[in-house]
Amino acid sequence: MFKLLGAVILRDCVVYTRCLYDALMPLWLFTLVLSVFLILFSFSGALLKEIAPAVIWVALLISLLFSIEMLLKTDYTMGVLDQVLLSPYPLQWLCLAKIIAHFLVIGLPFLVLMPLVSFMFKLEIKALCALWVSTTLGIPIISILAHMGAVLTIGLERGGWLLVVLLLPLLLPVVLLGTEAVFLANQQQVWLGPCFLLGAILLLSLAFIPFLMAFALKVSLE
Amino acid sequence: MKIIALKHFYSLSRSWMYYSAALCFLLGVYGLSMGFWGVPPDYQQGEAFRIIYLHVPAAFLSLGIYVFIGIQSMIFLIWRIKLCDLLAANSVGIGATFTLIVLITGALWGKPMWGSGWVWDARLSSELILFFLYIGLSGLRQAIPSRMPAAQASAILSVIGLVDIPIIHFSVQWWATLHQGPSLSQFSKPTIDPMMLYPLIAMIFSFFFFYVSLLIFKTRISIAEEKALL
Repeated sequence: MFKLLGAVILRDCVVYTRCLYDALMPLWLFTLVLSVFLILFSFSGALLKEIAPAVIWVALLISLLFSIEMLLKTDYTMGVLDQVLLSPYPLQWLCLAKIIAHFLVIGLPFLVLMPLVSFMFKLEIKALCALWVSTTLGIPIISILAHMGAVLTIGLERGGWLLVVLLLPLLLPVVLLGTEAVFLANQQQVWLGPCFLLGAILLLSLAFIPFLMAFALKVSLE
Repeated sequence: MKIIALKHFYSLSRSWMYYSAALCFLLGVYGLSMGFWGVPPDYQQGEAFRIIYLHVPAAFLSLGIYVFIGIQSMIFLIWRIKLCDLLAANSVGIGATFTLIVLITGALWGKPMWGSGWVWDARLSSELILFFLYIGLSGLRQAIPSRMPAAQASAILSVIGLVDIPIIHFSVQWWATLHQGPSLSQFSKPTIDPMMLYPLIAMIFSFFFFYVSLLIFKTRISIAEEKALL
């Protein structure tokens, strides 16, 4: 079973990196949005450290959400998903593999970029640690829920904005907790509490969402 | 069990709709008249507390309707009973309206009483998230053109959104919020005075019967549309 998981993850990673422009687009969008916020807030003279948690998490949310549409579209139009349905392997594992591949190729570069981001916002080491932990836990959750949303709106032409509308209420707690962690670290307080809650949400969604995804795939592709 | 067949539901529910509407009217008359004129003013808040007779029933209903939608969606996903999908689909609009009523009456009440019409604490924010969930639910159902996939996708989404309901319900116990704590609970004596309590309970049931009669009305229209399309 793990060999199957590894094979599908490898295949999806190769598909994502084949068109490097598409794979790095979320990262580029993140940088652009952050730059916009930085330039705008330099006019108002607000302390960058104060606005950093909210701005970074909003930029993360926006850049990840706008790249979801491409997640399953290619696989759906090329008929790969139908083949996956017909294969004898359990669908949940394949959904899980897609989520892991997405996190590896598209989610991990965000973590690499976090030191640069904290430098731009003049954050201290403590806040950078909080940012790292919260994004390591938060980006997989966003990835998992994004895949769930993509499966629900698969095949719709204007599915992109609907996906964002559907996912925002579900992702608000994640963004809230991530922002709270970095905010507490800024105030020199204990910031592990929200991270534990984020970990709990990650475990819960990792346990339940692949099954729901497989069910929804079977339903929408029949 | 033959109630789940659409045509049996159609014929049986006609009388239920009228009885529910009558109960809603009677309880509403009692609740509103007592609540707005009969009950004496609160010792702390004066006359403005009377908006509780709209705010609390709408809040109960907004949560209860979402739980109802979740249950109907689960039944629909497991047993493919078409009536459950129709009930869930018609409840979404009513639930969204009740949630909007809660948010607006809460803001109107909060501004003179506690100084702020809106604060981003746990209960208000999670109620707002519930409103967004309702909107997303109806958006998804309308976006998918074919009927069965639309029903199933909406059912799955409503089951996923069920996770917000315990957060809203227990938010006033888990976090220190501006919103007051629970005065009405199933397991303890209510902390509100009985003279103010009875119109409140009457209004909760009145809103409930309003929801029931409106739901049956809309479902009967959906059933008629289904028959006309066949």
